[in-house]
Amino acid sequence: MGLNLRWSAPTTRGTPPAVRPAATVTGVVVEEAAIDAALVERVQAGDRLAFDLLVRKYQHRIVALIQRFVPDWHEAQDVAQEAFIKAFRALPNFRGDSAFYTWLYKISVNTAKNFLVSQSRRPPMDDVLMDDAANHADGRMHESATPENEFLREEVERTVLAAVADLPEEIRTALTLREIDGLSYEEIAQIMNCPIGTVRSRIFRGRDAVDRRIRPLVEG
Amino acid sequence: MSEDIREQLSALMDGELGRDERAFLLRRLEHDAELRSMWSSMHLMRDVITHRPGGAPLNLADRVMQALAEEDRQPAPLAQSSKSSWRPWLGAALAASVALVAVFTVAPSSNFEPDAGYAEVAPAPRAALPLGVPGPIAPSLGNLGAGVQPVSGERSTVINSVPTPISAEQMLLMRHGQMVDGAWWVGGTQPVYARPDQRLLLPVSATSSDRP
Repeated sequence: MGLNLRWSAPTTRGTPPAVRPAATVTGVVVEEAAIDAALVERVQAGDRLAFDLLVRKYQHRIVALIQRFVPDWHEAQDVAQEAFIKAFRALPNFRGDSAFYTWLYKISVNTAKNFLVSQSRRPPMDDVLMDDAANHADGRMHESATPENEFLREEVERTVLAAVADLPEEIRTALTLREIDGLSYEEIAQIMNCPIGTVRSRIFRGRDAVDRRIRPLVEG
Repeated sequence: MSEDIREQLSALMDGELGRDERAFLLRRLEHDAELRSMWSSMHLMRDVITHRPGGAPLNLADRVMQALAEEDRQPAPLAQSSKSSWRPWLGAALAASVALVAVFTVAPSSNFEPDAGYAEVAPAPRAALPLGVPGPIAPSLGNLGAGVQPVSGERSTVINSVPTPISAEQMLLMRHGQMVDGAWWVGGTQPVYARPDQRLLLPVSATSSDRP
C-alpha cells in the first residue's frame, strides 16, 4: 500500500502533537479494556450475543495470529473457531486480572500449538511475542493462503486506505488522530479547536464512509 | 438503523460513551444484525488503518455462535454421563481412603501418652486380632469410614497426627483384611481387642482452625 495515513500537520487550527503521547495511548488501551470488560460482564451474565461482538472485534487479529502457527487459511479459521469456543467456555472463570485480549491471545496460541501436536506437526519452540503478534504488519500471503483469499485481503486493504484518503480533510484528520495517534475525543477537540460533539460526528462520518466502501467486500 | 445509533456505535468503539448509553447500545446490538455487521466492518477498518495483522474479511462470529448453539443442542456426551454414574462412589472411595490413611496414621503406639491435651478416639486393636475368626463380610463402601472417629468431628485431626511406622504385625493383619479401626472388620463376628480398655489418644489441638 502506497498510501500513508500518518497524520501530518493540519491546515486547520491548533497544534499537532509532535509525537504520539504515551499517556494517551495507555488511555486508549484502558478504554478498549473497559469496553471489553463491559462485554465480558454481559457474557458472564448470560448474554451470548455480547460474545458475538467480542468475536467480531478480534476475529481478524486472532486468525492472523494463528496463521503464524498454522499457515493454512482454512485450518487457521478452524483453530480460531475452536479458540473462541474455548474462550467462551472459560469465560465464567475469567476474573479480569489481565486484559481480555491478552487472555484470548494465550488461549489462541495454546489452541494452535495443540492443533499442531494433534497433527503430528511440530509447534514452534519459541512463543510469538505479544507485541509482535498483536502488531506485526506481516499480513502478506502465507504459503498455504489461497490466492482468492489473498486477493480479497489486499482488496479490502486498498479500499480502506483509498476511502480514508478520499475523505474530506477535517474528517480524515479527526479519524486519523483517533485511529493512528490514539487521541481521545477531548484531545482531538482541543487540537482541532472544535466541540467534542463535532469530533464524534466527524469520526463517525469518516467510518461510515469507509464502511460503505468496504461493505460489499465484507459481505460479498 | 438511524444515523444517531450508528454514531453511538462509533463512539462505543472509542470508549467515548457514557455508562447508560453504552448499556442501551449493547442491548440494542443484541437485536440488530445490521448494527453488529457494522461493528465488524469498523473493526476491520481499524485493523487495516493501524496496520494490525489481518486477513480477508471473516464471518467467524457466525460460525462460532452456530457451533456454540449446536453444542448446546447435543445431548450430554457418554463420558459425561458415565462420570456422573460413578460420582456417588467418589464419596465412598474418599471415605475409604481417609479411613485407610487414618488407620496407618493412628496405629497404636506408645508415642501417645495420656494427657489433658488429648482426647479419646476409637479403640485401636493391635495384638489380638485373631486370624480365622468367622465374621461378617466387609461392609459396603459407604460404611468404610464409619469407624474413624475424629476428634471434634474433624477427620483431618486424625490425619494430622504423628504418623507411626507400620509394624510387620500390622502389615500381616492388613494382608488378611483385618486391619481395622473398630468398624471395618473381616474375619470375626465383632472386633476383638487385646485389651478392652485399650484406647488411642489423639491431640485435640489439631482442629480445623489450625489448618490454612
